[in-house]
Amino acid sequence: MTETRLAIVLVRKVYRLFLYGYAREYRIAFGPAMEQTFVTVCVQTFTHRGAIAALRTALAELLDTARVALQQRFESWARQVGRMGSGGTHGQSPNGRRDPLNGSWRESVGQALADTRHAFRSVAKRPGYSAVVLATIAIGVGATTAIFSVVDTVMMRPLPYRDPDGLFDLWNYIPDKDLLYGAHSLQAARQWREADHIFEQVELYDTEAFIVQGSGDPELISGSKVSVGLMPMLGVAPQIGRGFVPREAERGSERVVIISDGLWKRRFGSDTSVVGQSLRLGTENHTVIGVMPASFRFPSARVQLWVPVTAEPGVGRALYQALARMKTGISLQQAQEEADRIALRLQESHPRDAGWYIRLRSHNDLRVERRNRVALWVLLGAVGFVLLIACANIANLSLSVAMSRQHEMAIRAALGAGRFRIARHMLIENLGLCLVGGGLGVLLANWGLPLILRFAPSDLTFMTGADISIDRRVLAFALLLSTASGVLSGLIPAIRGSRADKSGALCAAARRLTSTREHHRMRGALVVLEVGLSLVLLIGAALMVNSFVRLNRVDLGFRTDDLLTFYVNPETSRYPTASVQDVFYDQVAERIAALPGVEGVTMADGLPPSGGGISFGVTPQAEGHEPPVTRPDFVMPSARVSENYFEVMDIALREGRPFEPADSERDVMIVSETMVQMFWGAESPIGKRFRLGTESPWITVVGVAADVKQFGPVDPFGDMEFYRPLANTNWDGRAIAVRAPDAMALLPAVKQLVWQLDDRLPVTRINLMEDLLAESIAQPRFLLLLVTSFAIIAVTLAGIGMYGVISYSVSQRERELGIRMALGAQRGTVRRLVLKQGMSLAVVGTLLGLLGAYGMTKFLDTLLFDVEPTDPVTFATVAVGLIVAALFACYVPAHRATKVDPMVALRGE
Amino acid sequence: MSSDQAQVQSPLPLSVPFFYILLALQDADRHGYAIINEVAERTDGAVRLRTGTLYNAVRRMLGQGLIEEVSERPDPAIDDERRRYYRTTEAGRRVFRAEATRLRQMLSHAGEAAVMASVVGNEPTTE
Repeated sequence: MTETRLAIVLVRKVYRLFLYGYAREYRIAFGPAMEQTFVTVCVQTFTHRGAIAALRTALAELLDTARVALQQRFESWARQVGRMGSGGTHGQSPNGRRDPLNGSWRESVGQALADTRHAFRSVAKRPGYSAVVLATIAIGVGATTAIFSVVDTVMMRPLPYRDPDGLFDLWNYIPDKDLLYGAHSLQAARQWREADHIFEQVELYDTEAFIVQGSGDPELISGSKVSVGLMPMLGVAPQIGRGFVPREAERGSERVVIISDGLWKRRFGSDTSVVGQSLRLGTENHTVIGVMPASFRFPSARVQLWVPVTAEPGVGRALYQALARMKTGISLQQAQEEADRIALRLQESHPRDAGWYIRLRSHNDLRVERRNRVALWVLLGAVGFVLLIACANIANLSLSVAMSRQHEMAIRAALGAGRFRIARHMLIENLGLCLVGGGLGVLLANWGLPLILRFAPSDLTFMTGADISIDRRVLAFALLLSTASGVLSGLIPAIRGSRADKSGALCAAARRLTSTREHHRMRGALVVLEVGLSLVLLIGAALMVNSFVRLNRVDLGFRTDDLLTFYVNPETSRYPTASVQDVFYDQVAERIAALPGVEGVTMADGLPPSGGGISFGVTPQAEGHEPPVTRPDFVMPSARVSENYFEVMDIALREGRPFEPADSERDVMIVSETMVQMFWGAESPIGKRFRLGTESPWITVVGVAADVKQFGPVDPFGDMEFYRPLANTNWDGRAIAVRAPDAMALLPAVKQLVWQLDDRLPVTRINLMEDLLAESIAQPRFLLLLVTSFAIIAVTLAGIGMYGVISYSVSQRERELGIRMALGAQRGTVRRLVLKQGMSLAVVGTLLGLLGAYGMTKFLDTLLFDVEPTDPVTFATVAVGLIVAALFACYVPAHRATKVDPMVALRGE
Repeated sequence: MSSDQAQVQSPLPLSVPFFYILLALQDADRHGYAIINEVAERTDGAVRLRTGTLYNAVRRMLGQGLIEEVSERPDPAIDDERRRYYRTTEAGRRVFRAEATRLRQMLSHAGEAAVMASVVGNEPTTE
């Protein structure tokens, strides 16, 4: 019961705070009734529909109250301006000069210039205040600008193609599996091209890895096969040479290649006579016919060369992605309907393709991975909060300055300055400061951006490339931001300050008794806002720290240090059979193992954190058991590994034996512990049989291995994997892992050994396992670093704000405190009095912040690992921490209050 | 206050809060929360007036003479002194009737066009 009463008292307090948004007369007339109604609504909702509903209702009520307050304020302001503009009795100020809105244009400009001059002079007169405002706004605008430049480049800036919004990918779509993939045959593409009333053009592309030979080490390079019309459709021409011509798409024509700007610089030393030179891709020579400009990164920044799609033998089965340019004036819906009709027609002619549809998606959607998209929005939101807090701080500072300048304003008013003019003067002051601060902020952003990008996940800009910089768009944004901050933080002080009471303010004693209270309330509200916003940020940061710690604590199931990994990809043309490949790989392994310091060498078709193979659409089953899952989209990861894999990787074998050479001829497997749980329960699986589906052969289990996170700490397959022998399989390349202390130092020797066996073989994806794992959590780390920094900035700003308000209030109350102490108040009592004032602001801010965080952290859901976005422990810890920090911020002024000398304070009057 | 001016202007069409506040005050004098409750009940929860909106409307309606504050109060034992009770004025009743008539006419026009047949079938009772 007492808790309920406490809650009611609290919501009442919060609501009262919101009521200060209204004009005084309105508040007096309706405030108590509104407050009573609000409390009744909350209590009734709580009684009938529970706490969550009550919370939601309270929030909606508060928002509505704030909205109406704003609306009323705006209306009254508009009325005032209207009245001034229409002349009337208010148009003429006592000194005979007309008010600006009524005056001639020339006169207004002259006044504005005079105001600006005056503003600069008064800013220069208060260097301390000006420096704090400049620093605050620079931090706010700087952080926001830096993040905006990232968001802008990655997500918003149009792709560097002609009319990029008209480009749509044609995805094959299987509704029952909710699967999107791009796989169009040349034949299907012809059908799409016939739909020329919808599509201006339809082109195909695909990515493929090429082994580049010739001078220098052999390299594995990402390339793309594109249909001849693709580059013209994108509206990009080579910077050197020419594009593809239709004849080059015919089978048997001369092999040609267009290379990227990067490859041209690296491989050809920017040689302008590159056209006509030869580039050996795999086993065939290609003639270079052009070099694309550096900005061309299709379909992604990784791709460095392009070859034409040619009509291959066995027409119709080679599959490509399709990109279309929609005709102008056609809506997406019209195009989608037409695409559905064509898909239906295609299915009728090819019954075995039944069950799929076509989805049109803007090519823009591909540019950033969903997780990164969410992360960027979260970051932008976080810096937005920092900026708001900065604005609140500046508003706060200018309010106190406005207080101390009330005398000056009163004199100006008495001498005939209109209210509008005084307000404008103060607004110009703030605006000027914020614009200069914004400029500093841009410098800060320019300096901080490389730092931010150093921690950014490398796949963030895979499509747009890495030219994130402060450019004209970003500068315009910063200007807008600074102006908005200036207006936002200057409006309240301007309105307040201009309300100078001519007679009252001239009398110093009256000043303290009249408007101090109201000013103080406004400043209190700003501090509450700051505390609330910084709490939201802090909670977000704490959740991420929590999640990151858990991510790092995940047991990956193998030893990650001293492990060098790389891939070799022998071409099937030169290594046609599994046995030829086996011989080659065995030699590689033997020679590397003989190097000094090497503890072990092992191979697999794939290594963590990118994993091996995945079997799609399986209905796995243990012999004698029903299949535990029959979902059509069920997938099972698996890896092909050599005999010493478990030993070298240091993966514990729980039962049974590792693979042995003779296993290459047998159908055997080793399964993970989680898999045993799922398929055999408590039984031992050793010697039992397993199959992936009714069509698949039975495989005998020979061992049980500890769970391994094959796909990094966030294993989407939940530790379920099995291993098969690697020997006697014909895979496209193998991963080789070398266990050795200081493994990276061995790399040159390892490469030499491979090239001694075959000097045309590229050694690719060379990494230390620890670096790979660090990269796999680069995105959470990036987010964590930035959000935490913003939260720290936010709390610091809020702390400064709170300190400012409380110390100002103490200085204003010096006389009162002096009287109290003269009348016998103890130092402790005075300290408590001041602390209580600060802490009530902190507590209300914290409560609002908790509400806000509860509503907002749900956006973090997809970004958190093993942590609930509304984790009560995090919420509680951070809230308590913030209150303690607030206590510190209040303690200094509170302590100073106890040092007030009653005699001095009283004599001051 | 510009109340005199406002009264001369036609208050129709009524805004949603105006309409429902007048509706809630048709049969009894009510205080703020009671108005919110009555409106929610009459509309099956479809219209939920918020406190800020309610009192903003109340202020204007007082200014336009559509409602007035009631000076006599219920038994203090069941009352809260912070509450304020309102009732419709004769002008408010007239305006409400006029608005209801206007709405009914509009609905019947829609009905004539036949497109809205199903919608008109669910016409809310306004009296």
